[in-house]
Amino acid sequence: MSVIRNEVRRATYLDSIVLMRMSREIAALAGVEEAGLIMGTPANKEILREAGILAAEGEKAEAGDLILALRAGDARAAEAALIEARRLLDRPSTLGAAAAADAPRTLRAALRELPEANLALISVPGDFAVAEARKALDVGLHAMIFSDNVPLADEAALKREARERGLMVMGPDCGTAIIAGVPLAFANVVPRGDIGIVGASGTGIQEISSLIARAGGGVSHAIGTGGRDLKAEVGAITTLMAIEALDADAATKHVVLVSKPPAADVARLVLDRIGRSAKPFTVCFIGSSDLALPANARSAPTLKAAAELGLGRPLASRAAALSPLHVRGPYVRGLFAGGTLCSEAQVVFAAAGAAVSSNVPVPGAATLAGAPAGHAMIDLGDDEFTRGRPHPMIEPAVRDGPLAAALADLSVGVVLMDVVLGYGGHPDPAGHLAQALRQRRDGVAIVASVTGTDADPQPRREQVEKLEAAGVVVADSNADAAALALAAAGRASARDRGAAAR
Amino acid sequence: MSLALERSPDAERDVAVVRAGVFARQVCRRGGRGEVAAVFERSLYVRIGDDFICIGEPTIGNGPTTLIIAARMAELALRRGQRALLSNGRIAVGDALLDLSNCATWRAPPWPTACATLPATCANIARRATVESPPDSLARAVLGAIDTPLARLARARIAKFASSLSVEWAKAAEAFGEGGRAHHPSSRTIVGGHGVASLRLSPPYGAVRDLIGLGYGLTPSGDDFLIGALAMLDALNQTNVHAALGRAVVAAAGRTSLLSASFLRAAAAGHVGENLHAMVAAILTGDADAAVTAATRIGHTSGWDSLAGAVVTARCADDHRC
Repeated sequence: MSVIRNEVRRATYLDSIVLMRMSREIAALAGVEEAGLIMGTPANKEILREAGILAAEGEKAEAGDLILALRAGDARAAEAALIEARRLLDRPSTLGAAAAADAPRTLRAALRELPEANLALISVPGDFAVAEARKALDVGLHAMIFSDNVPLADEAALKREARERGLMVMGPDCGTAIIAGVPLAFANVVPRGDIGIVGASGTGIQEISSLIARAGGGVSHAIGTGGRDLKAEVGAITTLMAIEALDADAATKHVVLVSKPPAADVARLVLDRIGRSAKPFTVCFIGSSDLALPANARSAPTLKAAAELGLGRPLASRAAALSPLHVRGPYVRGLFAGGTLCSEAQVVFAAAGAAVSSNVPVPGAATLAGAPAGHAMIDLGDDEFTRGRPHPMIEPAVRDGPLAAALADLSVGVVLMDVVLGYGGHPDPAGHLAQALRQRRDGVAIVASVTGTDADPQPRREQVEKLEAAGVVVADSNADAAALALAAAGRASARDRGAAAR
Repeated sequence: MSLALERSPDAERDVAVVRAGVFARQVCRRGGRGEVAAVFERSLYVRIGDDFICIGEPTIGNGPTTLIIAARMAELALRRGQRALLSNGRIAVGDALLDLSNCATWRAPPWPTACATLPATCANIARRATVESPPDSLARAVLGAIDTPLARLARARIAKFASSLSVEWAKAAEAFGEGGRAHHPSSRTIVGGHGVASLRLSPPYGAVRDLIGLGYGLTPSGDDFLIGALAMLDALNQTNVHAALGRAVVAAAGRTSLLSASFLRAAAAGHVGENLHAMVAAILTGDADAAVTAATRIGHTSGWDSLAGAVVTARCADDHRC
């Protein structure tokens, strides 16, 4: 027999996204049939009444109170759910208080606790990042600046100052690094090895390092530079310093460089420096062609190719073994959390001669203006989607709206997506995606890649299993996923042409 | 750079307030004792009697009840329940002393003129809301075809709201001619005390009472809907209808949380935050993409729910050919 339980928290204000997430978590608990976490206004009590989950205690709630209401299969399940719900409700303040009490509040205080530190990770609003980085440089620390919204001129000046002191500034907007085996910010758990990575691309580093790890290789260091380091105004200051560091590092036998196509003068500067190294290099300027590379360097058109060249062998791929997908529409809609993964998909499409558009177009792709049409690759981590909102790698619900729009668009036959795992990311992105796909209609194939490793906080194998259980075709790499999606859409397109001819 | 970042960690921290919304400034000018009611990653709310002010980092955006400070929220290490003292243009809370002496007052820019494509823009937005708005939003309930307890209650109530609004609009149209506009730039002029000829319409008390406090989130969806409706009426220069709806909203404010009521009172007086302002301005200029993008930047469902309020109201405007 079902049991209804209500609990009221007096004058409690929680962020809407937190409320939504907790509601979902409580509703998903074992034995819970229905649950709601809602402000105790008279109108909301009517909603709970309508849902049949308002009890006497909830009736007494006032407008500023928070009502937790649930219906469970039996008393034991209801009690267990309430205990878990209380834990969830208490978690934010507990964590916040503990963090506030324990964390050092200034760089100098942090240094007193860890005097041997040689790198400061700076994650503050962009307005303050340069000042904080200068404080780090002043005390002899390298700086990794996670923050974005730092003016380009400030970045260039900061990097020049750092270089004069023999220190490196990684970033701004440096989301990923692995230094001496320690993952920083959004990074995956990969074994140490002999491949060094220098990247102006966070998800580029994540995909390459994960592919290397899954193929049995390892990474010595992965040094993020920030997305604008290879612009003419900055002149690749950090990239050149990182190459210098890896060139001098005995543990590094091969260096992979990944970035968007740089300014021509900057590319020459970087390639000249590579040419002076005795080590082999792989250069992945994603979307560029006609690179005049020195003899010790090879060009990789995709992140997958970069990993293969770094490893010195091709990666296994299940793509050919996956059943052909039959889809209703001729177009692929790519919905990406990772900017470089979005670029890589465009490169795969362009290489196959397919017209593609994007909000972050690579050379050869069209700029997406207005509602997506045709093959369209959308970087949902771009500023236009994330200003004032969490990044889709942190909050996968950001993708729900565009996913629903793609599923409702009859011209779309394949939705192509990335799931990026690792530190800093959402604890269960595949679980969320599987839920969001419940409204999926027949005839739309969902093709995904999962960037990460089984050692990540969200083990990759479990994430892949969740996706496959939801009917998602999971490819071994983002490049494979893009190729699979294009092949399926191409078959639909050929079928449509055949039907039209008949 | 703020002095706050240069001070010793052990000393009381002076933090400059760089911008203040008009309501936040009024509350600070009055002074009083308050309490930290909620702390989020980039902002916090201080309750002073029945008023709330939001204190936040620059990235949260300006608003009528908001103070933007030149410091990081995490550095202030403030906690829910801490006492706040407002006096002499300063707020003492925890170890921080927030100083308003050099802050600018933020006001939303003037509304753009509504273009002829307003009905088409609204139709486009309504279509997108049916699939892109969060499933637990009022926007999805009203503009889509979802079946939830909220949707079942909300649809009839929104229809009643639109009907009530139309009745009052018709009265205004009869008094002032087509469109029902009064001849002054904005309802803000009333708040500012500039006298204008006006028509006292009947506030839609019942319709507002049914919607206020309805739905999920920190600010219930029904409140967001009403704020969107008020913003659209202000943007369309529908002073008399705006005033009538505003009176109904203020009268029913006790049926929602105090925090949400503070936003509603500001909207009733013609003041909304800059993200919401950008959203409504985009509707007026026919840029559906920009309106949707702006909506997605406001909370989880709040932006979409305000968008629904603005669209439903603009459709009423179309009925009266504004």
